[in-house]
Amino acid sequence: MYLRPRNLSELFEMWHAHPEAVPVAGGSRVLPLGPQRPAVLLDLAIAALQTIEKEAQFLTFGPMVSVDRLAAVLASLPGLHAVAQAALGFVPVQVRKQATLGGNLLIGGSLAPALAAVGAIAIIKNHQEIQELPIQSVVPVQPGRLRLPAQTLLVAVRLPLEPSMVSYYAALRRTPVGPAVAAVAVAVVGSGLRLAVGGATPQLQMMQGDLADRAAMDRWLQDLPVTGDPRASAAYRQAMLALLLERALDALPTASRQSA
Amino acid sequence: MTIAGESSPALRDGLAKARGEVAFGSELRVAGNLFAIALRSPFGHAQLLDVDAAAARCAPGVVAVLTPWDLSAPDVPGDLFYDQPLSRRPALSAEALHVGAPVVLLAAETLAQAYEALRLLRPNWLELPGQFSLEGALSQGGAAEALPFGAVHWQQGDPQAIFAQAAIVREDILRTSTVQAGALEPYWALVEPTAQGGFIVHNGVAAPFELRRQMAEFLGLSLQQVEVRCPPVGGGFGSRSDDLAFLAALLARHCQRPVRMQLQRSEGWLAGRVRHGAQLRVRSALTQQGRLLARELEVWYDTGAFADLGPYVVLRALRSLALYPAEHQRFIGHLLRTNKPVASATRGFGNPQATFAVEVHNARICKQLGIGSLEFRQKTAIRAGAINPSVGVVDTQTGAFVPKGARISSSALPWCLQRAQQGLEEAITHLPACAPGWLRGQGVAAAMHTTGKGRAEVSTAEVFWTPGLLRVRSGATDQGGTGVASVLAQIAGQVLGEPPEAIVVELCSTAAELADSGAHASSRTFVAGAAVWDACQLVLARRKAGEPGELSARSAWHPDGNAPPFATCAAVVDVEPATGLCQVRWMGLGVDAGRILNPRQALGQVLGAAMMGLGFALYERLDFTADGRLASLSVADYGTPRATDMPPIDVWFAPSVEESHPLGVKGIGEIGLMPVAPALVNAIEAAIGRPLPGLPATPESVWRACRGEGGTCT
Repeated sequence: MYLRPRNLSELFEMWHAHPEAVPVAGGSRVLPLGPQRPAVLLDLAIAALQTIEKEAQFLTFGPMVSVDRLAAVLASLPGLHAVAQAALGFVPVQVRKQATLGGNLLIGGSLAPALAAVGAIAIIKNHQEIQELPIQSVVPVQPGRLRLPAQTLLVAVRLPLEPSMVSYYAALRRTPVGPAVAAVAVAVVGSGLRLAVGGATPQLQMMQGDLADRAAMDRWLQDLPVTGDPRASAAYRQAMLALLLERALDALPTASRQSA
Repeated sequence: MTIAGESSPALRDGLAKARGEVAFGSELRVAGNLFAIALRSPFGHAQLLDVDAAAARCAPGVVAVLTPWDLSAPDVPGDLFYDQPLSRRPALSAEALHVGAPVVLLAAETLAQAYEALRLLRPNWLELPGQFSLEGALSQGGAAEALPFGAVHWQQGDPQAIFAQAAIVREDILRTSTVQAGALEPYWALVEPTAQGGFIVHNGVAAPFELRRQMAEFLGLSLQQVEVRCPPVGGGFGSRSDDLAFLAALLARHCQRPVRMQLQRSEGWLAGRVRHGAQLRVRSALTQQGRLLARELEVWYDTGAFADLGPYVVLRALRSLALYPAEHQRFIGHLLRTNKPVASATRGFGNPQATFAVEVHNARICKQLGIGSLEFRQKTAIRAGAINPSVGVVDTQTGAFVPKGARISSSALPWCLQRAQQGLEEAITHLPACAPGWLRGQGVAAAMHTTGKGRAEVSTAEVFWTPGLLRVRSGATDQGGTGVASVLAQIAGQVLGEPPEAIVVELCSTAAELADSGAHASSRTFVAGAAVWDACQLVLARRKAGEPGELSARSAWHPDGNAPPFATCAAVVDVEPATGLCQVRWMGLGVDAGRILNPRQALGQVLGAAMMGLGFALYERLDFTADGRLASLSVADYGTPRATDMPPIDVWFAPSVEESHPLGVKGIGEIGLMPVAPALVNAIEAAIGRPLPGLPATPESVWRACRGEGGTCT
């Protein structure tokens, strides 16, 4: 059975009626089932999940917004530069046009550290309630499933429009299209700093601190549970995190550093 | 002879493929075919103690479940190494010798039903200790040798005595990784029983007549009872010597229905065929002025669970030694068995690994002695007229290699070296300076390969001509887009004066009995092209004699020798020591493939080979865990380069004609791959001033080399 809701209300009604339904969201990674066919598919391609809304203090993206569109919208916003960088990252434009914000988060892609650093909020919903959570709390531990309660959907990602914020993202990969072996995203508002690390650790890691306290950042990096795998050793990753952090801090606009 | 230099009708099959008009084998279905899948070992080495298949057998749509105890499965005969069946292997065994080894076969009416039933199988495994790495196999010494006679070996002169006396002795040990061919089309086979008790085998195999021989033996049938058909193949690169056709045949015989089997991408990494990972030791004795006195090459190739074509593959490493003849030489080629997926004849046939080691060693010699890379190679490389010691036979009792005394009939390697150097100088002039914090290096490498496998090579063609209609029938296959149909049409059309639209080329199944030894070793134009040329010459003679009506002729062409093609690669690479990242800024390839019949297709072959060489050099690696499971995490991690990852590449074809061949051609399908990886690594080492341990030159390995944690050299 293929369920094709027209709006969010219908979506949750259908899902409630068919709890065994497997959501389908465009990309194959949502459905890592090989040739097996689930009995019920739930199509997420509804307009409500593809919208971009601008308010005075926020930009809100539906999870089905393409990564390419996300990058284009954010290109002119210095505060969200890190997210645009992560979106433009590495894959060719053909893939960016197909890949979605939600899909990127689902596979543990490049966007999570940047979104976490700029303070993005995940808006999740089931057929009864809606909740707002820091984005890092829904990012998967293992790629393939967001950390959401059963029959709950990521319905939007909200980014703050903070005029004084500046941000930067830097990553390093073993192969041209492979996942980052180390990624660092930094966002600064005044002297306050949010630092997020991806790729090098099993889970997204975050710290908040003072831009002037570099020693604290270094200590935090040193204490991270950095792991090795066939992509790169833990030692290499640790070294690259320090280097990427240095580059990210160097790249933050001079004005921001002066204000700090 | 005017057959040269025209790209038309290069798009005879290419355009149809681009338009999606060609049906590839993986799209093939026949009425009523079953879908087969295999339960495969999740362990590097394990015994299937038993399997509860009751639920699977009762599942909807399931027609057959075959366990190792349900049938007496014969061995897959494998290719003969000369007259020895060294590649014989069980088709289905309860002992899984590598991760991905098939242990249970299952056929159902639909693929979904087959997968559903697969989930219902309850295997009971006993995990066994094994040899899961080349390093481990090396530590076992002779115990891991896959060949009954031990290593293939050859010696000329007394290299040990020279090493003991020489002013300069240098030894380098390098490693290359296990990599996969990365063909776009999945591995597949379809086998259908015939009403006469025989079988039709549809498969993307490179050598259909060899598959027919093996399949007939496997099924206990005569050759006439087996027909092998090869539809267009979406990439082969020599890697399609997998066992799917034999597994499908077991089920087809059991069910007496057509059976189709196709691997998913992840299965293909385990059950297809890969390039041998290797360790290579090169040792040279030289005068202070850089004259090569003696050289020794010892290689250890990881063949995985079975030898397959490994004996021939390891033998091809000898080409890289033969390229630089010294009075005193020694070759030792080990084929080591491990509990890893089976390695086989991936593009280049054992030569890319050895060429990489020899050419990196050469560059290090040049640096050590302060002599130019170009100068060293110009002085040292083999010349036309010299004896090519890498052409010969192996004594299958002792492993001793005996050269046949074949001479190099043409070599434009000096031209290729000169052109590469010139291209390098031009590139350096035009490239913008490298970014702050980055270092730039230049590298050069050369290579010699083979055209055809050098034994029992044959292709048969029939030509039928009436004015305005020229029909060419060939036993050749289009293995992965070699463009053979275009070239055969071009040759026939030019000999008999017919335009492209008047020419029909049929690449026939084995039922046509147009014997062909297969699409391997860059031999299509060299062998199949010559057969068509010869048949056309016979028709031309009859036409000139005024014979009326449709004229036809048949030719079975056995090439004389295996004219080696040559190539050079020059490269410019920028390296960031702080991260180990490498950016290839430019590559140039000089290629001596004899007369170029179809420049567009020839260019495509060289560029494709260069792309494969770049992946081999910088990215590609199949990783395995300590217990033999695949650790490569995804296709993206594996690192096959994309078109957008390719640097600017210049290709120059040498003005060369192979005198031993009627068309003046040599092989082109593989030679472009050979020098790329060593040229890139030589450039990286030149940039950072440190040795690398081998391939791939990942950011981490380059970073470690920059920190003095690099290669093994003494």
